[in-house]
Amino acid sequence: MPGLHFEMMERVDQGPRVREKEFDTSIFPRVKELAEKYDIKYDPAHPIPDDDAMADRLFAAGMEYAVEKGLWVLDTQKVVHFTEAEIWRFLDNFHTPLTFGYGKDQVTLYPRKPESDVRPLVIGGAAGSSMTEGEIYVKHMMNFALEPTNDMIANGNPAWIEGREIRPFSPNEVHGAIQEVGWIREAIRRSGRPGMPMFVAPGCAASAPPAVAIINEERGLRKGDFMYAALLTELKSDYDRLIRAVTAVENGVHVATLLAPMIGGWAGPPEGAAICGAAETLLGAICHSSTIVVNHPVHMNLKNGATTHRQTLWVESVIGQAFSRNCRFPIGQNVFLDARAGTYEVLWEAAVNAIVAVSSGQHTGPGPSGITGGDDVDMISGIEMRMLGETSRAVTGMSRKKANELAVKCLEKYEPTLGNPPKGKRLQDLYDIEKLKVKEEWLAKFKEVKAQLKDWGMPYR
Amino acid sequence: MNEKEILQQLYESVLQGDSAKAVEAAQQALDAKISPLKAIEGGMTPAIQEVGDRFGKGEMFLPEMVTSADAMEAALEILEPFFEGDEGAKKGKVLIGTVKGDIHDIGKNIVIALLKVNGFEVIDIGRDIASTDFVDKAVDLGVEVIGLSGLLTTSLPMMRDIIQILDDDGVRDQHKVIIGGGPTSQEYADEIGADGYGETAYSAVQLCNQLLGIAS
Repeated sequence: MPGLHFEMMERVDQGPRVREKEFDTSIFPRVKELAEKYDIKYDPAHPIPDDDAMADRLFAAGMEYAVEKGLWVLDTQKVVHFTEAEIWRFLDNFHTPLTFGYGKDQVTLYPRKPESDVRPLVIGGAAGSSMTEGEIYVKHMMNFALEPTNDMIANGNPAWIEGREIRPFSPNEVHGAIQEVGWIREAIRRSGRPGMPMFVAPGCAASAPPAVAIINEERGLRKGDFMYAALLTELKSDYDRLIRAVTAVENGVHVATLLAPMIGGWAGPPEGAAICGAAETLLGAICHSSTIVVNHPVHMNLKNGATTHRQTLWVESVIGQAFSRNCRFPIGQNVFLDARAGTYEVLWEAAVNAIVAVSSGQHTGPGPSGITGGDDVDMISGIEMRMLGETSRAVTGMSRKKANELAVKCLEKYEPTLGNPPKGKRLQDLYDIEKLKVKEEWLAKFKEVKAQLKDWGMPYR
Repeated sequence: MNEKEILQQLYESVLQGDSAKAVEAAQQALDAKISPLKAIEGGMTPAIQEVGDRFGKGEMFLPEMVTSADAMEAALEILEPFFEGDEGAKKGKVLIGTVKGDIHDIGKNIVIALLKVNGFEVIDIGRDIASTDFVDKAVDLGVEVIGLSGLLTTSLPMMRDIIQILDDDGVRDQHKVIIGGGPTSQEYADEIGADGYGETAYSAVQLCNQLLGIAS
């Protein structure tokens, strides 16, 4: 996508130095003022608000703050600024629909709005979740690729490479990233979807070199696949991230910009995180010449980055509504779950994320995932993906009022244990791993949750 | 201003994160012959406890806690030269940073603010810090606790490395090591021989108290 590639590269080392603490601590007082000026209010009873005027005001507040604040760059301690006219130049030149992938496996992204009956894209995978390397990793990826509602495959994180821990800036890190993407290519081929578009934040790549190394038509990321480039919370980036974006863009790989406005962090309450997130969406999209922004609000009380806190759901919803109502730039919803595979809670969490994303004009995923590490390996499965995908399809076209009712009911199911969920199980315990067939016990839980949602009015086919 | 009013001013300035006002109130306390210990215990400590409580309830946020901690530090600088004996001594010295390859630092910043408001001296070594730098700095500064933070899965081996370097250098017994962040867990802390794992920012404070034998 045509971003402001040259302008970004020119401005990262221009202007006065701004100290990081000054940049960070000045966010909260200003977003507080903007929340009052634009009358942005969080309402816990409505994680999916039904207020078009507030969505439009949030977009305006985000635009004002993006122009005023800019994006701070760690390496230079300078701030990259864009004018409102430049931001609109980017947004107005963004053409959708967009088609991704190859041959019969192509998928098309159409612009959506809140309550839209246009089918969202569903991006299924588990970036952030630790997985056993090699054949088990391939099986994880096949498990996601074999779900028919999955439009694009996202990666997981190999826990080791060749039995070795993955150390940043090491040769093993580059080797691991190349292996990882090769395994995804193998998985989509073995699943009968060789042209399935890939959406990759290589789990082996804490630094830029391995991310750069995975662009390879033959066995890595192809032209038209996606690579992640994240912003730093809040409103910050660094050369490492910008290098990933420039490399991807100049090699014909789409950039997905990930942002993580934090509730309780520098921006304060949900209203502040929403304004910051809206500004970050604009600045990240432009600086990275992105094709999509993936929103991943986090809550400071949830250690593993789950997106299913009531307040994060609200932030997801209002940013999705603000952008889908005011421009054609697409927003995805990172789906990070607190619970693990094998539990009822993980299914309710997957369902609620789909309900919020789709009814608010967004696309679903990447997900389902969750930050795991240490011994917490392989605790993810395709059944959460199935819940995410089937619910995304079912909720398409639903009113926000009805979606909110369903979201609140889902919340009641898992909120009591959020932050301390029941222990889950590994893929190997929940599936016949050779044949990739889900075991009856896990499938029964899925059916039970789905039946309950259907009973509440979710129109599953 | 009388003593009560000065202590109230100290309380309010710390609560509001107003460093200039806190410095002014600390000077007024000294001028009014209020002992530094009384100024701390009667004005600043209740304020910082209030900040901690409100932060825990989600009624105050990170930037407010940081500015409150700054205001308290600014006032302490004025009072410190007038302490007698070990009055006003810090609970202990903690070196904290995000390990090599990881530049996510919000979790670390929250822990730093909480440790400061709970009376620890904190040295923020920064982010993306080489393992050897953690060890060298800890030894140079004689810190009691080393706090290792990371959000990425790839941060875990760096935590193991740091403990190994402390062992190799023969200084492991001089420093307690605690870990925290997204991919860390009690199991991983046990596996690498860390002294503690903090699931939340608050538990990092409890851990430091516990490891240094301080009643919280």
